[in-house]
Amino acid sequence: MSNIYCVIDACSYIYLNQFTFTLNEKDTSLYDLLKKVKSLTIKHSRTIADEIKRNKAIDKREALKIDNHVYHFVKLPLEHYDKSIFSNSIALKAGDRGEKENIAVALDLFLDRKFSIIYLSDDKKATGETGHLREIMFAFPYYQIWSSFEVVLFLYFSFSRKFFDYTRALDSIQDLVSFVFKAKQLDLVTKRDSKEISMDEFSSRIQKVREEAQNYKVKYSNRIDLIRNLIAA
Amino acid sequence: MKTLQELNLNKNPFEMLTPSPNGNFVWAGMKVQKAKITNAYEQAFQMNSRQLILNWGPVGGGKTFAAYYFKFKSKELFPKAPNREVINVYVRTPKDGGNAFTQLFRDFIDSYSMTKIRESIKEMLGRLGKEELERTLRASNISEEFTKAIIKLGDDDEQTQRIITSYVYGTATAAEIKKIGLFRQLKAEPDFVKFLAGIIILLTAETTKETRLFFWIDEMEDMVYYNSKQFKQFSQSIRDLVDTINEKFTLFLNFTLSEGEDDTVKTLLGEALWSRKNYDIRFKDFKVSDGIEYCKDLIHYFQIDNSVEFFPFELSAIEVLLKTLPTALLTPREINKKMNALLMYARENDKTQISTQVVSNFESSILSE
Repeated sequence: MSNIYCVIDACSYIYLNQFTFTLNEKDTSLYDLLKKVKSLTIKHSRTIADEIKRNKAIDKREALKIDNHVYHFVKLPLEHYDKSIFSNSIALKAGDRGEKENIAVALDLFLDRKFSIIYLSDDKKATGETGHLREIMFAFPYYQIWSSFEVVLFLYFSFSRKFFDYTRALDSIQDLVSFVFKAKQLDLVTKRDSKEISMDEFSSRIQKVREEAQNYKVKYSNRIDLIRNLIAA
Repeated sequence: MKTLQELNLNKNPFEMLTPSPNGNFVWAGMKVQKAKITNAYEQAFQMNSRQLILNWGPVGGGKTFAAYYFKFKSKELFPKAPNREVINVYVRTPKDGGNAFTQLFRDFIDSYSMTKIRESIKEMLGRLGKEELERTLRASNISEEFTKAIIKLGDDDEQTQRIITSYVYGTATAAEIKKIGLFRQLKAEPDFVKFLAGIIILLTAETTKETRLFFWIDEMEDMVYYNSKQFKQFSQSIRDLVDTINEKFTLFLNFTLSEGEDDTVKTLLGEALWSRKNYDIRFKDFKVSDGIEYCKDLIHYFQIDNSVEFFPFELSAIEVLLKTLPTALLTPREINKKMNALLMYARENDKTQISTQVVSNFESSILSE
């Protein structure tokens, strides 16, 4: 396998570290497993590293290790990407700075002739199907766009016979669904209780969150089944 | 403003937007679903074996209503057999996945009532004796310790009653339970499974009459928010409950899913429960004709003079109104919302007959808001 470069954002880092299972008597997260992949190099921008370290949910000692993955621009300076495609919004510290810098990281890797690039992000508002950075990302179709759910598919296909079997893959999907959508559900409950949203709006939005959670679970479970069919064939 | 009586109605047929225990329980439309659930109740008495039935369909499709309807109407629905007793218990799936089965256990006790459980066991103790109750429970693999504890629920002694209640709710100390001859607290989820199974076995072990227990667990779709450990634990606990009781017991699981097929439900519900399912009852999306039948039944029930089929509504008016709803929203809840608003509009505008013209004006008034 040629070397794969995985450019990860803070949100995905948090998702992939959110739950653990025991592997060789050690608590192991999906992020730990991703780091174990020999042909995969994890990279991200300086801002992403700082965002991760600022996040209280992350163990500080572990977070310091994240600095080892900070990307140093090789082909063009970050300022050049900022000026030409982000209208200097990185320098101006506008929103989604980390995600924008990560796009620049992915482009710089490509210009440096690293052709297996994954842009890993769970920040749906910025990089999701209707995210506001999506148009910029579409202009440079040189990397695959993944969420943490794709990481589960990748780990299952790569390591199903070693340490990431079918049950662990399905459990990881359930854990991700739980983590992502339970937070959305609780956020709506808080808004309802503080009268920020009406009961009607709450009912409609909570239904959408539940449907989305169900869709994610079914969609990714089906994809795991497809991988299993290939492995078993 | 017109009164409901001026519109030939005793009561507003469409006021119930969310089922509640104080609501009007009029079954409208959905004849297939009603027949299947009624059949499940009949079957429970004809065959001893346990049943696990999955009710699934869209939001507002009538699943919760069905649970309430059968809970509160079963005495009227099954009056022909005085020797038969139907026990209905309704709970919702716990929102928090941590120790979800423990919560479900306590919700069961609260929903059915600790007093009723205590009285049933006390009555059986008096009539059949302690040894017979022990034999019944031990035959279903309820441990000796839990058998002792369950039988103590029917104890006359005031102190024993107080301690055993604390024990059930997890607030008794080790010293207190020792006082009544018990040595093990209810702690792990499997303890609660066995304990609840034991209670249900005794409640349905009546010898003077045939008793069947129907347990409705609503909103099973909330399991999607559980993490994998909680999900497995909860679904396996329900499966173990069903396996341990194994007779005179019917479990209805209500599950909301807007679209999908059997495989989708299987993925979402998990193998543990899917493998125990006897059959499912599909609360399908309505067609307009189903919606009309639904409205007709409700209007008919609340009409003062029901010689005119839909009065104060005209059939064409109902049809036009239902066609304004997107297919995904053609459910009892959404129909109630829309018909309720239309009825209110007609009353406020002094209409005594609700025609297509009234519907058209009503729709325009919504758009102009």
